[in-house]
Amino acid sequence: MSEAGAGPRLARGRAVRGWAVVRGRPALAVGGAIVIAMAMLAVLAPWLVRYPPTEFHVVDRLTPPSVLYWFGTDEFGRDVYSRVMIGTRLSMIIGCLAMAVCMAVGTPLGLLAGYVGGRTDEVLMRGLDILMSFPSIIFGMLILTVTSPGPFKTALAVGIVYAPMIARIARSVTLSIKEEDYVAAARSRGESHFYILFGEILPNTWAPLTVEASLRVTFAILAAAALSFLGLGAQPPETDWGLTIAEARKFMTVAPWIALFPGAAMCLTVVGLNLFGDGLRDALDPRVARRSRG
Amino acid sequence: MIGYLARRLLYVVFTLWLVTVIVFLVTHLLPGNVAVMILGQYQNVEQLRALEATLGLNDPLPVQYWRWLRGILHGDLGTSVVMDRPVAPILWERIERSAPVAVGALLVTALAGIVLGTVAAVHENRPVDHVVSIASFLGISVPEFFWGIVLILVVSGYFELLPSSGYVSPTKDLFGWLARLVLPVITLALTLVAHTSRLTRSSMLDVLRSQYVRAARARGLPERSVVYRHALRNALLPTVTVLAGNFGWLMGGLVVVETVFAFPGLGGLLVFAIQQRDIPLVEAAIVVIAGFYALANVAADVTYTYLDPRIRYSDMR
Repeated sequence: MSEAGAGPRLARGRAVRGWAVVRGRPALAVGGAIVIAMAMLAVLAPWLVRYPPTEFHVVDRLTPPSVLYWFGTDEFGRDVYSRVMIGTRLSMIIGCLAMAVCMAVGTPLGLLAGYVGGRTDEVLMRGLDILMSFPSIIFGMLILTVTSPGPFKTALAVGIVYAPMIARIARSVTLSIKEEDYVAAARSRGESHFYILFGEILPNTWAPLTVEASLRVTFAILAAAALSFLGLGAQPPETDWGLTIAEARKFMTVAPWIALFPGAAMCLTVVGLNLFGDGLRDALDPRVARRSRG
Repeated sequence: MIGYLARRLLYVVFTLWLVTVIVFLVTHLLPGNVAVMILGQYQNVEQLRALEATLGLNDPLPVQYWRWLRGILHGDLGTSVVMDRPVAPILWERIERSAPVAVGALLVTALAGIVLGTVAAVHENRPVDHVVSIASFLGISVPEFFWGIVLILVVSGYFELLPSSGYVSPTKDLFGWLARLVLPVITLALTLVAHTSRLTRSSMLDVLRSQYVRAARARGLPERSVVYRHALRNALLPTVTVLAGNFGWLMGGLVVVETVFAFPGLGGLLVFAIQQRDIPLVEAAIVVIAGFYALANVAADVTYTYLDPRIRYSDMR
């Protein structure tokens, strides 16, 4: 995180250093590779499908994986491979969107609480504590109760649910940055609070916050998948990991492939993100790394 | 001690009050009239008006809120729209069914998590450690609902060992009740076991390197006594806090796991209520769940202060 202030002039040096960081850390490399691969799948999904994902092949219902249907077919004879590709795309979009909402809601709150301090800080943080006193899935369900479900509403709900977490981090980062010389300098120049907050402090919270967000995007992905599994996310004929698995539940003993392939895609993504996150933390904070690795 | 507990409980009451405010605001202010949601697409104007009148939706919001809160304070959690019965007995019945699942999962988590974490730490960097680390890594990466489905496939589908879903009352068929409890408990516990064992391992490693453990070893105490009498006790402090804090995760997991196993408990009820747009039922279930969660957090804090004499109650707010 100390590289935060390095700035763009070190871009080349940073790339070289980036390689050095990856080389000694297999977790970071493997995790990064998985994440990049899954992201590519998500981006290229519309070109990778072999059949339209909602097309019925009534004759080939519930067929096991074969050359024709790589991952088999579901109860309507839809190609599971194509549905996994499209589902991966939607799940990744929901996860990233949720994280974006999370940052957009949480960062300003944390900045404000950390910068203003005192009463405002107290009230804001207590309020966020209360929001965190709901188990996250339950809070998401509450938000989704009164609206008709849809993938983007799910992303919004998940984003709001995890916003307090980001706000706390933003607050603690702000608290330390607030004491820096350049903030004192800006203050003595008579800059407005608005400028100091968004012109001086925000750009410097960016690096640690992005790291945090990438470490915790798995929470968002898993929460969105769970909500989707409960029927509060993607709606048929659209699909994502959670919904595909929910629909496959009834056929689990006759046609396990319908659930296993999207499940595997989801787990692979999360494993990749977790490996990448752990590796990143190791690389950025060797002290923690040594302790957790022993 | 009494003062500290009283302060904490007062804070719980305050939290719960705010929870009721949030739940009420979300269900009443978000776009989408409750009556419209309940009637769905088959509404006509008269039905809508009639339902609005029954639910008291035409009163000003503060009046509605006060009526609801006063009900809760008198133990009246409202009336389920779909089932047309008071909510409180429904909830109570579901809590009785879910409690064994939650408690069982917590026990499994505590036992398995601490044992695995300790074993891994004691055998640091040896095969056992690596196996535990990889297993717990998989554990935190795979969501409950997928574990549940895989377990159904393997245990009920392939080996035909246990029933995959449903519920029977323990008074009717004790063995059947237990059999249907095993898979949900394991599913719910898996993720938490992974978290707990990772945490226990790292705090155990810290403690094993501390001065007093070195001192104990230098005095020639047997390794077993060093690990279990000296190290483990201190290493468990953070684990205990996290275990109790896990209760919230457990409540969320319960919702998912009960859906996977078609288990008619509190979580299943919440999902049902949301699907049926039974707003009074949703509101009451969420307030009750938040209440359990808040109390669990207090229990965690109290246990922690009890276990760690360095913390004085008076120091805490």
